[in-house]
Amino acid sequence: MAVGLTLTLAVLKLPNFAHAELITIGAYTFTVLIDFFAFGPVIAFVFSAVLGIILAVAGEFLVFRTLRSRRATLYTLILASFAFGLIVQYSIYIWGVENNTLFLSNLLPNNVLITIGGFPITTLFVWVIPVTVAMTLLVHSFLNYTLIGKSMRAMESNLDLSRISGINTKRITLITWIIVGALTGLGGAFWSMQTQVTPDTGFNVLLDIFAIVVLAGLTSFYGTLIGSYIIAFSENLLMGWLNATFGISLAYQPIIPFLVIIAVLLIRPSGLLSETSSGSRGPLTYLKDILKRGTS
Amino acid sequence: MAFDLLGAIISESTLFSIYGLLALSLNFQYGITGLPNFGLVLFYGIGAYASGVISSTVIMWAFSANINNYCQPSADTLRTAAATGDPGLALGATALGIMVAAILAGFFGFILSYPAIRIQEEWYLALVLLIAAEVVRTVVRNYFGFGGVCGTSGLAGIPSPFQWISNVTVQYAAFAFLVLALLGIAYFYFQRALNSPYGRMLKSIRDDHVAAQSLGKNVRRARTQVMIIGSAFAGVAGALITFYSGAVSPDNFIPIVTFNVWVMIVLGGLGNNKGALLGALLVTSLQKALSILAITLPISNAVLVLNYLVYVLEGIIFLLLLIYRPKGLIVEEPVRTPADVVLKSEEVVPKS
Repeated sequence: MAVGLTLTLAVLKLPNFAHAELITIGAYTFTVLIDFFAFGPVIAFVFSAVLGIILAVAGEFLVFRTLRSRRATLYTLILASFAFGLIVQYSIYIWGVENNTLFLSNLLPNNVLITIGGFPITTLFVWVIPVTVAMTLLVHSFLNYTLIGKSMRAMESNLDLSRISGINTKRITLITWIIVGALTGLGGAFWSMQTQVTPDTGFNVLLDIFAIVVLAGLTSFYGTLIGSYIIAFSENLLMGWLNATFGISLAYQPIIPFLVIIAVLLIRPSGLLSETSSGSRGPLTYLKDILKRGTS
Repeated sequence: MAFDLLGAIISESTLFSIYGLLALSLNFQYGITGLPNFGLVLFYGIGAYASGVISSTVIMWAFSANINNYCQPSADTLRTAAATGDPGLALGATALGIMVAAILAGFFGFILSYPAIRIQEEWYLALVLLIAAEVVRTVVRNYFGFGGVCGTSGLAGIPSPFQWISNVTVQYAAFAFLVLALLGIAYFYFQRALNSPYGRMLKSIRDDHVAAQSLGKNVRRARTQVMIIGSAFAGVAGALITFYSGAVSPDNFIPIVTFNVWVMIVLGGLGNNKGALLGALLVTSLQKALSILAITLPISNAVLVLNYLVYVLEGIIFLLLLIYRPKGLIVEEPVRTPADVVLKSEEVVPKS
């Protein structure tokens, strides 16, 4: 899910608050198909991705392309993404009230297979890890070895230059949205396996995702992956520790990613992306550099 | 239930004034200074809670009741009864509540904008405030203890300042006048601020903060000041909604409230106080009309569906506005400087 947002931020330069709704759509599609139509998980995954794509592309055509052609400012785009997200969210609410499906839990079994060193390994775990790794490798090779992927990276570094070099930026934007929609829809489907699905699902995860992306320095894909694990582990382990040691309620969990964002902003006040000083990149971009040096 | 026109007008004008205050404060922050405050609801909520807690505590102290029973229904009845019996106490508790709300909300405006306001990437402020609003709401939801925050169920039985007026219609009308008066003061204040040299400096920061800085303006300080002032006004609005509804609950302060106010200022016209008020009037009227419709329609779930439909409609209106009329209904007026006013009123003829 976070990789999707990173792509939007990097290639399209858009902090997309409607990203949450892509997750919600993915989660809902998956859950409804499994619970009510007894689809197999694989087909349901495909449908989640397809609906994610449809929503993302609809957003591009209906909202963002029109606004961009009118030379809207960044804030206008952010506001528009917020509004678009709300329209989708409350449409799902209406649909949910009509069909009595406001709160769903996934019926897919999530059994504990084995326990290693006190940590339960569940079915979900076995599913998620390989798929995530596969998706990451896929996106990575797509960005690095195909022409479209290369054009996307060109757009990331300089929009005007890439346009001059004859890249069809509109087409690339569309393709980016398709990838983002698919990734995020899938992410939402996975997410629905371990949580209750409501129209607010996506919005609740948005905080974690933005924390990850900010920690990773906004536009780095590998940083995003590492950041996801850091945030997820710190949330679960730290919160478990606080709960056990100080008796702090687990309900306060969202504070941790928020504190991470604040900490990053305080430690790197010049802005994670600003070019004013050398020490202005996100902490994880350094890690990424080290990784790169190791591989090349 | 017979349709109560007078009651509807009174409640509409109260809600309009409260949202008008919010719209003015957001317009001051975004429309004039260009600060994207996506967490307006946070300051609104802080104001609401601060005033509720303070005024209740004052009343319970005055009656030396057991503070630990804060969240019990018996405490609610006690507070209401106390305010019914003692006009001075009710008014005093309200005044104190509003003041504390403004101060506390302003303080939070300073604290929360501090990490993000210095950053080049300006949308960070939007992100931090949006998330802070949700985080604080989560904390309050699960918090049960000191000061009567009362967790999920919220705090009830907060008496209106005019609780001692026995006629309910007069009581609400008096409150509506109080709120309208406060809105008038706020409008006057923001209008003065907008047309002052300070207002021109804020507009210059919005249009090009680098240029403003190069002219020796302290951009960061001005932005922080605007955050504090705007948040304080949002806090006052929160205090007023608490005294109006008599209760405060964390679930009233969801991000959609912020979005509502955004719709108002974009609809009315950014950087324009009249526009903010017009937007507030239109949006609250739309909500009122749809809520009346929801009660009268004989469909099951109508209240819920229409409630959500309002937001979908607002979202669509908002997108259409952004695309087709980004300047809003009333286009931003030029700043009126004193020299400008003198020139226009006396029709000075240039010397030949």
